[in-house]
Amino acid sequence: MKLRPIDDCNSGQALAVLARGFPERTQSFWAEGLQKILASPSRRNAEAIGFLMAIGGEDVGVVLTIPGERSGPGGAQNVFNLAAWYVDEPHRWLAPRMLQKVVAQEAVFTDLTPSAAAQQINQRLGFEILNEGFQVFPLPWTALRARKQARVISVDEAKLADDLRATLDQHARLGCVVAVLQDGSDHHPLIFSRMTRRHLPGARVILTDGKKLIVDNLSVISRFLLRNGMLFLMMDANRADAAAGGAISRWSAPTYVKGATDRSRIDHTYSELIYFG
Amino acid sequence: MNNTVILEKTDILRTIRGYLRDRFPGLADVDETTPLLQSGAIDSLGFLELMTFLGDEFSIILEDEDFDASNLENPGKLAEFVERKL
Repeated sequence: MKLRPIDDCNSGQALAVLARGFPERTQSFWAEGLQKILASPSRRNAEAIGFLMAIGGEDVGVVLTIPGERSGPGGAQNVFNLAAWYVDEPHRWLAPRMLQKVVAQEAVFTDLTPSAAAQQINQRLGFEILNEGFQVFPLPWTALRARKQARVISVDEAKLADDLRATLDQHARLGCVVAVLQDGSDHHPLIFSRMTRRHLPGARVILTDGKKLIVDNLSVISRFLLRNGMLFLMMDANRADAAAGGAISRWSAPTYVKGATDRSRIDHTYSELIYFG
Repeated sequence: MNNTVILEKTDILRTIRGYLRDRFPGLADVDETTPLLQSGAIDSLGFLELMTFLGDEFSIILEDEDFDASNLENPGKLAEFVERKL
C-alpha cells in the first residue's frame, strides 16, 4: 500500500474514489465539498487535504483530513478533521493501517461523524470521546427564560483579535451565522452553522469559548437565532453537561478527538460540518 | 544450518498459531494453511492487531509494503514473512 497526499492536482482522483465509496451522495456533493476544502483559508501552507491509498498503482482508498489551527493548552495547535474515509472491499482490511498512518503525525485529530465501525477503529488508534452526543434547545421556549444575561452583538461592534475576526468573517461567507457575546468587558465569539431537521430550520454550535457560556446565556442567544430564522439549537454535550434543563439529549452520536483539547469549548471551525453540511 | 532455519520457522509458526487461537475464536483449529483473509474470522481491526503483534513479538519494523495480502494468506505465509524480516 502507498499513501499520497491529496492536493489541487489530484483532487479529481480523490473525487472518483469518494463517489464510488459513498454512492448515496451525488458526485457534485463531493466535488463542491472538495473545492471548498481546497479553497479553505485554513490551508495556510497549502497543506494536503487528505490521502489517496493505492495498491499496485491503483487507487483503492481515500481519507479526507481538513487542516485547521486552534489555540490549545500549549499554544497554537494543528488540527485535522477526519471528514470521510473509504477503502474498496477487497482491501478494506487495510483501512485501519491507512488511518493509523494518517493520524501518526503530531497534531490534534477530530472525527465528528464516525460510523459504528469507525468508532471502534478510532478507539484502537488512540482517539477518545470528545462529546458523548448533543443537546437540542427549542428556541421559542428557551428564549422566554428571563435572567440577566450577556448581550449578543455584531462582529463589527466587538473587540476581537484580528485572526479571530477573520475566522468569523470567513465563516459568515461560508454561510454560518456569526456573532459575539459581550459579557462586561469580555467578548466571546460565536459561530453557528445552519441545518434542517424534520423540515425545521435550526443551528449547530460551531465555535464557543465554553458550552456553559451558551447555557448561561441561552435566552439572549435563542432570541438572536430566532431573529435569524432558526427554531432549534444543537450543541455537542456530555452527560455531565446535561444538567441544564430544557433540552432534548441524544447520546448516540459521539464525536472523537486524538490529542490534547479543552473539552469545555467547542471548535468545529473549518470542519466537515462547514464544508459538507 | 538448514535445521536451524526450519526450527526458527516452526517456532514462529507456533507463536502465530497460538496468538490466532487465543485472540480469534473462529480460528480455534487454525493450522499452517488455514486461510486468514478469506476466513472472515478476523476483521480489519484484527489484521492491524495481528500485524502489531508480529511487530512487537518478533521486534520487526513494519513498513507499508509489508501490509500485503500475500503475507497474510495463511499462518504459514505469515511465518515466512516474519522469517524474512528477522
